[in-house]
Amino acid sequence: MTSATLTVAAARRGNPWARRALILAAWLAFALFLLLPLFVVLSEALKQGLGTFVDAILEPDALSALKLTVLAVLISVPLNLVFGVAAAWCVSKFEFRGKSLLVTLIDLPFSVSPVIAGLIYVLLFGAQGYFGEWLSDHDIQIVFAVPGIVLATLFVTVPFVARELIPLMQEQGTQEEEAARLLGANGWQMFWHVTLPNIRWGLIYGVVLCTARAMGEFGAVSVVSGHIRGVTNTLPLHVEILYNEYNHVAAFSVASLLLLLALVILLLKQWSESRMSRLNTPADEE
Amino acid sequence: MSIEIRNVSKNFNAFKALDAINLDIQSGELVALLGPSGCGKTTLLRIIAGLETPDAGNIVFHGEDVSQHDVRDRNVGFVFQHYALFRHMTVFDNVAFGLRMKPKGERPGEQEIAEKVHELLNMVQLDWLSDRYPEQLSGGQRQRIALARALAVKPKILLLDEPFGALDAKVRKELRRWLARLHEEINLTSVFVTHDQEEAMEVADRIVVMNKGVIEQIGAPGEVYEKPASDFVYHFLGDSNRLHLGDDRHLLFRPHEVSLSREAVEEHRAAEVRDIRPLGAITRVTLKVDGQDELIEAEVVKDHDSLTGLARGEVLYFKPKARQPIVHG
Amino acid sequence: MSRRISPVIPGFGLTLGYTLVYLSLLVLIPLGAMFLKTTQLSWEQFWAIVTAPRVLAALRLSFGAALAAAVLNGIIGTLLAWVLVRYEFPGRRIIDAMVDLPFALPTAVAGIALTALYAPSGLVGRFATELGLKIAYTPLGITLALTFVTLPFVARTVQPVLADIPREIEEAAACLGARPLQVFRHILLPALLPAWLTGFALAFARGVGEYGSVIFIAGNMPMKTEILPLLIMVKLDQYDYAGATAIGVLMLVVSFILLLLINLLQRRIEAP
Repeated sequence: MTSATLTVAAARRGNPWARRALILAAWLAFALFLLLPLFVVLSEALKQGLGTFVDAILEPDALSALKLTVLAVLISVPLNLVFGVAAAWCVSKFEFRGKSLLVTLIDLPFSVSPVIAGLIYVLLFGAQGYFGEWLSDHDIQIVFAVPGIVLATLFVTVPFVARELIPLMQEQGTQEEEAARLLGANGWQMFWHVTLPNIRWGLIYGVVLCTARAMGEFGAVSVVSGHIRGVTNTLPLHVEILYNEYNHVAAFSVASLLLLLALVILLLKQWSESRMSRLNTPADEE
Repeated sequence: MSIEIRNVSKNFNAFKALDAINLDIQSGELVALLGPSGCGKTTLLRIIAGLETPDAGNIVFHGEDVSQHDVRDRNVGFVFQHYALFRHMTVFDNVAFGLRMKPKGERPGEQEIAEKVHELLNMVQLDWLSDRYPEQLSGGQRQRIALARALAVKPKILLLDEPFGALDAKVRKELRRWLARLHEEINLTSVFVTHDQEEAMEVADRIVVMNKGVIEQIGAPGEVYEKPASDFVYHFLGDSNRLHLGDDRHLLFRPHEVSLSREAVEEHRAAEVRDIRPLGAITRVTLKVDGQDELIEAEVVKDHDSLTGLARGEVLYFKPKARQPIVHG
Repeated sequence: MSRRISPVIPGFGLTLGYTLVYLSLLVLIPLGAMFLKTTQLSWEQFWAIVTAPRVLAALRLSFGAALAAAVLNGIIGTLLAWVLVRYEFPGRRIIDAMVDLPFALPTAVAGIALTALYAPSGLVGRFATELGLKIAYTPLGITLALTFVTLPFVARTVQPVLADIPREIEEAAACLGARPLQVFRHILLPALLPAWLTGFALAFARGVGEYGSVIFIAGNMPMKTEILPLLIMVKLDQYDYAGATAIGVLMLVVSFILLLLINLLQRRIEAP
């Protein structure tokens, strides 16, 4: 074997010691950063046995927090889903001036602190806000009430679906849609029978990420919530209250409920991702 | 159904894709739009289909101006270059799509659709693939499914965009002949786009040679090959040699349009043999002539007298067969 | 050749209109309101608020910790991406799936979990205390929390790019006599840098604004471990809307300038 082939082989496999060291380092980072926090949540929650754990979750305030979290998810996810499809449609199927600016604007909520996301709604709808007087005259409460929580959740989850769909739809192009139109489909038929099935795994993937964030949002919701127990508390806020009251076991019990949901979300994400990559293998020459 | 293209122009920003195109296509004809990439042939095809709106001009189908008609009402079958099969549908559902999209009153029942689809799949000889998905098919199979799907709605016109472009050489040849036969059977007015002159010559009744947004020549395959209307057409339709005659004049001739001899014969020019390549039935000889850097390629039958015992470096005499000298400058 | 609107694909006006109205109502107008609110302050007032020592301390902490976390992430994320793409080993699929955990896990849960780990009585904190290292309730703890929540950014942006680099390029370099480190330095690094910077910028931006995971582990002592988003909360609790708004605008402007700089850097790298 010449020295060139040796070097090639080495570049391919890498130095076996370097390889082992890197894998070990990755395992360590994984254990320390990801596994350990997970383990702590569960062990703290079960410190005083399964009974206390179940009690903490079934307690009325916890249940009402769960209900509010579910409500926020059920409103914000479908709205951002429709928005995501519309935004991805106009960005990926058409050329127009200002397109890159629009894409930047869609991503904007990602680079705004969640606390600011809460703050802006307080400035608009709070008692001293721009619409505060009008709202109180009409007996409508947004901030420190459920609508505020929904709005804040909506804001922080705006980009999720659009972000997943834009690259996917750009890659898929418009030919299948054109083919559908040539074969006599009208706009809705084309969207329903061709576009939607093609993007469905990307859509699910975006919805999964959106749900995760909507369920777990803390900062933005914290600003507009007012922390009224049993009324404007979401699950993450409930965790905070319990924790600050030094009721650690209860805090970690509710936290582990959220952790389990997060694991379910990871599974769904993994699943939709693998389906998406399978569907998107380019359909030309083998 | 005949197609008339009247004064069609199309710009993409500052780029002139089509410049006042006029073209008549007879009913039942198979026409090739031939040209290099960027010559506007695909744009013209998409305008005929209604996938693109021209900036000026009209498209007339059988006497009726369809320029303002929606793509759905033109009744055009279109086969995309990469087929654009619906990736999430089976072969059967792909072919059935057009029938299922028909308005309630005209839509056949599922039973009738199934019969129709299997009939079409039998025609393209792929009925056994009806439950597969596009990604499980080979390129040639996808191509034929795309054709079956286009034909399902009984189009009056069939348009094909580089129908063999994405296939390997052997499959391409088979499919070409198959398409030509199919066209004879169903006798549908058809237009296809290609950049491959051999393909156009083999399949089409008439060839439309395009370059830079204009039509260079329209004619039967033999006509455009034998009587090219311009230098461009001449070069595009086959290999060519250029022999300088001095005073900015030169002669164009194809490699096979040459007479070769080992001895000095009248009107023949001397040249040095640079290379000898047996290519099967013919042999190609590369020649260097004094006074020009461009080499001359000559193709003769493999058992030609002049080739016996010929070696590189020897002198050979050649004479282009008649073609008018062209003046440049 | 730029393709204009395809005449057969419908819905341009509808979808663009809907997108613009939705974004305006939910994002643009409310953000605009914040900037409008600051105009109620005079320039001197605004300057006094944002240059108050407590604000400046929080500003340094927020941006410093976010920067440190992004750098740390640049290392760990690249390591994870490299190992996941290049090696086959036991547990690869689990690690690959779990890298996204920080995105799926509510930040408050991450916050209390990390605090429980790194507090002086915690699982890791105990050892650290023995070594004389205090993690929770210090900037170090804040940096660790930010590293956790932003962990997937660098790993997930670098991973696909690394997977797409054809092996032939490295092999070609090796054939031309490059040693493994030279291959990394001259072939892989330039190819990965743009994606790495994107991940870095995303992690940094998220780190600056992060609230939920930090407030539990920070201890929240003014001048020492108080982050900017918390300071906004404090001002809001005191009904100091103008103050909160001024800090919010400050945060957005500084983040924007830094992201712009990263973007410019990225363009210079990508330019041939």
